[in-house]
Amino acid sequence: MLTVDQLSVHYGPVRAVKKVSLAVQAGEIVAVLGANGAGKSSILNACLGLAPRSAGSITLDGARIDKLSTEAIVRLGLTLVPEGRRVFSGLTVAQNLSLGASAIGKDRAVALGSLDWIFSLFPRLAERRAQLAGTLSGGEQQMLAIGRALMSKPRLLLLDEPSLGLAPNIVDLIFDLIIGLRKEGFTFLLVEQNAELALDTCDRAYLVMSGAVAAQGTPDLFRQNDLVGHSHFAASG
Amino acid sequence: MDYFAQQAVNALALGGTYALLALGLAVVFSILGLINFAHGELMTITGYGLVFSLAAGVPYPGALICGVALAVFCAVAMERVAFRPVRRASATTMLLTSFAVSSILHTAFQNFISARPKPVPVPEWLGGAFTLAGIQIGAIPSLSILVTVVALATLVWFFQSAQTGLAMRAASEDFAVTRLMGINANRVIAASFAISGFLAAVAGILWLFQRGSVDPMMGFVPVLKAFIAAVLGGLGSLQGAVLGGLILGATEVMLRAYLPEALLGFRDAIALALIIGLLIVFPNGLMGRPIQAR
Repeated sequence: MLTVDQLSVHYGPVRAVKKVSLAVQAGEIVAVLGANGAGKSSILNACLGLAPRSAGSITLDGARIDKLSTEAIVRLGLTLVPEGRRVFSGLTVAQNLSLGASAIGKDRAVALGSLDWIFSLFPRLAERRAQLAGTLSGGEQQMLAIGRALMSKPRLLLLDEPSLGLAPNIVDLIFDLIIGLRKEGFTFLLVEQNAELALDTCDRAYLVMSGAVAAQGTPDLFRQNDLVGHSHFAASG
Repeated sequence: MDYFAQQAVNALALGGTYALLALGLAVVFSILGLINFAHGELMTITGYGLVFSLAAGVPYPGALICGVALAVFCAVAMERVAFRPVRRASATTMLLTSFAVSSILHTAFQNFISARPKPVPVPEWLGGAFTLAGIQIGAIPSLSILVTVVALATLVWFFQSAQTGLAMRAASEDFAVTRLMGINANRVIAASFAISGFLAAVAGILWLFQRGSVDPMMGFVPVLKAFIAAVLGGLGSLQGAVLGGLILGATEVMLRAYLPEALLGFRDAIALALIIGLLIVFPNGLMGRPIQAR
């Protein structure tokens, strides 16, 4: 579905991503693991045209998307829930969600029942629909960020650090939701620092170290070879 | 007491006009981080649009609509031609670009229209005044207040309820994430210029009614005042721009009314000193978001 081939990302002279190749098949949950600053977020941002790609290609369903604008990519059914949630804090919950439907148009979102669906996934958001997003707790903001991205019914969702800074019960809720949505046909590519959590959820994982893919395979392979412990050791050393 | 009430009406009228102008600057700034110093030229363009439509035989209401439409068109064209190519450049580059647009338009007005003021026919009834609760109130200040209130109410509705208005507020908070919603960045920016052009046109018409003529430099002083008002309110804050405009207008009118004759010459200096005093107490403007200390 999504293929990243030999991707490099430069911020000025600094190369954050070095010739990374990865692929996501329809219906999969794929995790990108690695230490802080390894370049994981840059890979996701480059897929959406939000990080400067200096080399390589990105294709969605066989068509190049790496020269498209961010909004054009989103309209193809690929979207990103950015790190740190980044809800529109001065807008209400309902207004945030309504903007989330922009990619498919408000009428179509109504026809698809997007809002009712989000409220059934996150009843807490329904209770707080008139509240300003900036006044929500961190967990509620993460629900809103995910709900907002789901409003346009994307086929492939990129999640950047969905568990960061959240209470354990909220993290469970969000990962249960990811597993549930996969059964409904959604595909996920997620970046996680919490490797245990990601390996429990994903079908396949990539380990990124200093901007390059250091290992890839099934969660079992990662656990047997203690690849994650290795990466954390590398990060602290 | 009557004198004070009359001055209060004048203060509200001038403050309202400044508020509309400051709001026009703030709408664009909140999204692009650009202070558009060519904003005043949009007022001038409205004036010329009005004068030439009237000369071409368009009835007065139609000519007003032509003037407003021309300003909106020019605002959007300005963004497309001048600001879009430098959108990713630094704030300074964009600021200098706006100065360039402003001086190109000045020169064009001088060379292709006239360096001298062109009289703008003002409807007769606007010269009159009426008495309300024993106080004589001019027609122009009343109209200014009415128009300002209608324009602000429309904008409040637009930013609260219209999808484009919400997208613009979202873009002013986080442009990248707004694009992640599938919202077209160019369309949001074009909309912000169209609104700022509309606000400049409405303020321009009120300004023209006061002075009765249009000349190439007409927009210079009001845009400077609008900039001061926007800074006072807190750059980027829409409510702040309105508040700043009202305070600046009220300060100017009240100083003009109550300052002893010997000090009248220092009116602007005193008004600006008061505003600097306010800015020392509120360094980010009255309603601005705090900026990291440098």
